[in-house]
Amino acid sequence: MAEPRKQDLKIIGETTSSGGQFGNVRITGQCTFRSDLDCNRISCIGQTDVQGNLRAGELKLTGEAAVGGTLDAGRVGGRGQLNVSSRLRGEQIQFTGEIKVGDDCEAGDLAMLGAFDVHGLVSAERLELKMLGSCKAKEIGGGRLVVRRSRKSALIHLFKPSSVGSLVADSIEGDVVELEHTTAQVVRGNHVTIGAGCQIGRVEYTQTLDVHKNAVVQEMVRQA
Amino acid sequence: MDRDLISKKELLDTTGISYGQLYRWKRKQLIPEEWFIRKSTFTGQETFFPKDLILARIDKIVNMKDDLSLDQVAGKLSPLLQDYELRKAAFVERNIVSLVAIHQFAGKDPDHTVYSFEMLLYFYVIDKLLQTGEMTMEEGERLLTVLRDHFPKFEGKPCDLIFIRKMGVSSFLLVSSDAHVYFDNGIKIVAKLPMVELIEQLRGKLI
Repeated sequence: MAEPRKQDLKIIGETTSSGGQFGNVRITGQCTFRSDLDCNRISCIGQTDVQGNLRAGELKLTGEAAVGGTLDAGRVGGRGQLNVSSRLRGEQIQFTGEIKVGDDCEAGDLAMLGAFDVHGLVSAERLELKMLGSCKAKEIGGGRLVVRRSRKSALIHLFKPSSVGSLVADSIEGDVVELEHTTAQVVRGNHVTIGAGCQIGRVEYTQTLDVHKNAVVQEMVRQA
Repeated sequence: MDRDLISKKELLDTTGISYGQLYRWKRKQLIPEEWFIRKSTFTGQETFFPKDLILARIDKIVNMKDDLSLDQVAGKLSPLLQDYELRKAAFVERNIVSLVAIHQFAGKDPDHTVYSFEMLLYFYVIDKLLQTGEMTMEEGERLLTVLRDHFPKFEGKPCDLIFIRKMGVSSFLLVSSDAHVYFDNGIKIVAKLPMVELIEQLRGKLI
């Protein structure tokens, strides 16, 4: 039996919706969904507020979005600010701006330019983070983790000296870990590169370790 | 009682999987969240896993993933702890099910009998109904037979246990959770228990 075709939803202006199941959702302006929203594709320009959980095959965002529950998405793209109170799970996340997550943030590919604040674990098979502001996470784990300070960060630093691209995490674990301007208690990995401006309590590695001359590492342990 | 735990590092060493794989499987929900146990050690926070459970699970995933995609593997792993087994003596010691219930329903089994997770679940369900005073011992015997004969047929799909009584005659039903069931007016529904919830509860107590 074929699944009944889901209705599309198009909103321009300021609206409140009760949520539900949709095909494509397009929002231009401001929209509040009072409960869960489930859709194939959602594209938002402006401000969107989902008070329940959001499930979307694809989420494209320009502007601001807040999710009161969990966000499950295939692809997440766009720029702006994304706040998720609970967990964020996505296959492919490519985002410019700021992401705030109350719990874990789990992704297949996570490519970010900007800043994030994750209260739980950030996990990604491939993480590429270009920092523009201060990034925070409790734990970071995954396959290949690359953290860099964006070149543009220097420019922002001129105008706003408080916000400078840096990362603070308790522990970072990955098969390949490349860090810059990171403060962490423990870094574990097979191939570890500690770049400029890092302050690491303890590095545990199995294959290779590179430490930049401007990095501080208190303890380095090679494990067989 | 402390379970045998294995640290994340030891786990990766013994199984030969990478950090990437471990986190991917966690994301795909092949490894339940509750198995990630955080403990502080002298080197800071470390993650531990229940050793027997995680090793069996990883072994299973590694064997299945050659033929199936990860999403298919996720579907194969039922909420039941399939590889979980517990000796009767250890089960009694854990104090999950009251001694009275164990004496009544497992009194004949010697102490070294090994119970599967399903069997533990049946005892747990029976004990729960006995504790609330809604069910008699004889009815418990019948419930055990019902569960043993029919619960495995659901193959891990969610189902509810319904306990009804009419004119003093009791009956047990197992129905899949999405089914609607209606009775005539003379029937009193004594209890309706979602098995999935009970599985979760028991799992929480065992791990």
